[in-house]
Amino acid sequence: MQVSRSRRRTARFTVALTLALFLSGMLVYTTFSAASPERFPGQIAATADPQQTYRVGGRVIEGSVSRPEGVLHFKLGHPGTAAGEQISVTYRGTVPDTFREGRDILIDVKRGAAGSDAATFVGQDNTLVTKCPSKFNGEPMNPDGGGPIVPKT
Amino acid sequence: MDVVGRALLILALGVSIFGSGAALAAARGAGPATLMVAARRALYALLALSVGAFVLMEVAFIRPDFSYTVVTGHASLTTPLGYRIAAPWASQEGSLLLWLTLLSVTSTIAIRSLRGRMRDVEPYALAVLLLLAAFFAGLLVFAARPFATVPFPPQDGIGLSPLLRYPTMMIHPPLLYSGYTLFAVPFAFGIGALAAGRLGGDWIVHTRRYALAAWLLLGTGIILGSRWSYAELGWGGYWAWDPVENASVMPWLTATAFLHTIVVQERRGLLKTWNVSLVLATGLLCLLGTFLVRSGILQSIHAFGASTVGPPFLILIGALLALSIWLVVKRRALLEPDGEIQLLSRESMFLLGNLAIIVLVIVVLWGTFFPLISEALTGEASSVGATWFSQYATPSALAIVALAGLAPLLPWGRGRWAAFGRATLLPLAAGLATGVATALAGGTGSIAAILLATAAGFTLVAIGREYVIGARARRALTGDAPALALLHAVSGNRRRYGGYLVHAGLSTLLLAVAASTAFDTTKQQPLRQGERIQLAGGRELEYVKPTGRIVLNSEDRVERIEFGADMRVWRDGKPAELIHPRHDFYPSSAAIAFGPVGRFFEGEETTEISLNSGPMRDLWVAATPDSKAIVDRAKVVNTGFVKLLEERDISNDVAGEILAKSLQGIVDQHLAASPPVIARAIDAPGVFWVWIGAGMMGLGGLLAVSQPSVARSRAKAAALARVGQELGAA
Repeated sequence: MQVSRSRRRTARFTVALTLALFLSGMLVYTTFSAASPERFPGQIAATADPQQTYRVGGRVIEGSVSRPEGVLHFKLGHPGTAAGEQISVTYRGTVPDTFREGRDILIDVKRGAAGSDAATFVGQDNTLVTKCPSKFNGEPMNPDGGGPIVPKT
Repeated sequence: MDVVGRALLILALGVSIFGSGAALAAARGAGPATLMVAARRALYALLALSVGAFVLMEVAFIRPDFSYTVVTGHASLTTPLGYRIAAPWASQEGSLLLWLTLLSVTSTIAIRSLRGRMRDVEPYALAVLLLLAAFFAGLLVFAARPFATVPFPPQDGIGLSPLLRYPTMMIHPPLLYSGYTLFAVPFAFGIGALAAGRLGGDWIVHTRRYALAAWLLLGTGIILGSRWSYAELGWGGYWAWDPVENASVMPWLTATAFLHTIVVQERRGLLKTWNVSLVLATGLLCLLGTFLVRSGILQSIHAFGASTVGPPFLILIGALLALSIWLVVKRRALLEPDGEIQLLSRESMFLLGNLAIIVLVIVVLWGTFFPLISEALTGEASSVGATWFSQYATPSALAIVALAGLAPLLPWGRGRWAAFGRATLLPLAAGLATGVATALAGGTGSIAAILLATAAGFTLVAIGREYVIGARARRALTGDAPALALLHAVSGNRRRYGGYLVHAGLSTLLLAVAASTAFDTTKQQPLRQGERIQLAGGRELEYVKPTGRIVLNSEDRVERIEFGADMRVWRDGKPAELIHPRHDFYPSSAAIAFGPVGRFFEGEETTEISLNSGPMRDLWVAATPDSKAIVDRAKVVNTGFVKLLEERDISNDVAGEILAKSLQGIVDQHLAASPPVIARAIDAPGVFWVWIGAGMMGLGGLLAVSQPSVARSRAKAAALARVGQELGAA
């Protein structure tokens, strides 16, 4: 039995639409269930759910960085200003070369588990990123205008 | 010079607006007949003006002239000349000027190569190209001014970020922008063809080479960026699903899709709506990619920070998107297909491959913009990580690789199941053997890697079979030796065999990606002198001793201070090669803030890895000293040095000598203390083949793009036919 061209097109369109709707639904569901909320340090310092992973954006506090036995410890304040409540973070993954005190970073963290230091957040491995330094335009210039002393070798 | 530069950009803006208006008026039949000539001349003037402005900016960087804000921000006296030449595109202003310059070059080539063809489409296409040029010229005049100056120029600049001082980073941005601007040509001609209602194959034939060249350049740019990330960024990966990386790969993927389906339109007159939509989507995704990098709207390690160019980009993208949709809907009657696609045919495989690619593009687009979407829907921003992207990319990659092997096995039009079954027999056996071998070699830990190995094995043999069939056919006709027959077969149909090579390269690349991510091992731990790390495959890594030295540039200025480690690789208990990973400190120009000594340790830092790469596995090693301890030591020395300067009247020359000794003293102290390093060793199988696969894809693309255009082939065939007739008559 021959099926007309328009009926075939309608059938194909219906199948494609059903498939597209199914895939879209799956995409939306998996995204919302897998996504990490983005927060500032002040928003999770006191109220973080220990089961939840947060993506935190903040400024590394001056003088807070240490690295005993290869484990990075630092404090994070509000991005841009470092003001407000701070959180302590420990991190064992790859540290970008651009990581520095006084710079804005992003990191996925979880509150320390019960029995450990609950006030300290644990950075998830290899989630620490800093802004590419080529994109910073506000570095301090040579303010004396006279130029630095040049080493004579 | 700054006044000349600004004048050139203002003139560029003026001629772009005039040319665009003139071309549009000519398209609508308004005004005198010479309007189109004037529009073309405006394009040529734009080319001269933008190239002139770009040359001026390069001169400012080469000198370097610190009266320009952009030069001060991205060059310094210690930045080597080669990197000063490449520094303009590290800046917002310079990269936008590069965009404008490349756009004017590609537009001029595209318009001049028309030689009187497509007279209905040309005015619209020219109007679109000049409108895009006017947009970028407008940004350079009003928002991101490359020729802005400061009243009191500093003696030195901040310098190019050391992370960008890597050979391939000198050409990575120009390649990406060349790709983006070349994609503007098919986009403009697509709009032109829709506006003029001339939706035959002409515009596709004319712009296919530009699309192919754009695909090749953008792909090369992406892979060079990946290589830089792997070798320079100190994290050991080559793809992170970062928003800016995603922004560059999306137009590349849509272009990959339409480069396949435009063949279906050429041969069968099908998929016209699909093709024009993909061409327009590619052009818009190129603009979206530029917007993502320029606007700083999404958090990315690559994105420029706070910027004012975001809103104009959004307006342009929104307007062009609306225009594209309106034109496609308006011309839908002209986009009706000439027939239907049969299930068992090459074109159906092309379409299925397209669907797999487009699903991937939608996923990447959704995931990239999810922080904005979630904030709009729920009031709080959320983001997804690399794992989420990978869970969708893996099945898409699997489908794409399998279809890349299936398509060549089927004929155009309608295939026969029996013939298809016979053709797939050998590739299928090879695929299954590859899958089993992968499972035996790497374990059953990653089902995705085993499935990808099966698909890649299938595709590589299927493509190899096509080469053999082509060579055999040629040999049967000419009696050539096998190698010569293969060479002649390939050179006779470069587009086809170039495409096959791209498929083989893609299969190799994706198989290598699967193997390197599924079966890699990473070890990170502090190491003291003499200690070892156990690695996979019976290897060990020993920290032999620390190293350190001061590196001067050609003008005897301190370019960087290196702190490294000599490390010995041991294989099966026997000492093997000695490797030298290191960590470099670059000086900061902030002499007051950090002090004369401190500034040499307070600039940027880079990790220079040691990479032992081979066909079976890569050994990637980074060794980072305790930077904080070094900086703290420098602060102490700095305090003493400043005190000495204050207490004694010392000439600059003597102070320079003491400073040099102080820096050397810090290095010597570090060597004497022999502090531990944090060693990170990655043993990754197959990464070598990522670059080989990419190279095969590039070679295939070059082969395909070198095929003479259809018009030229026809002209050549006609000329040969005439010669033949004349010889016959004689």
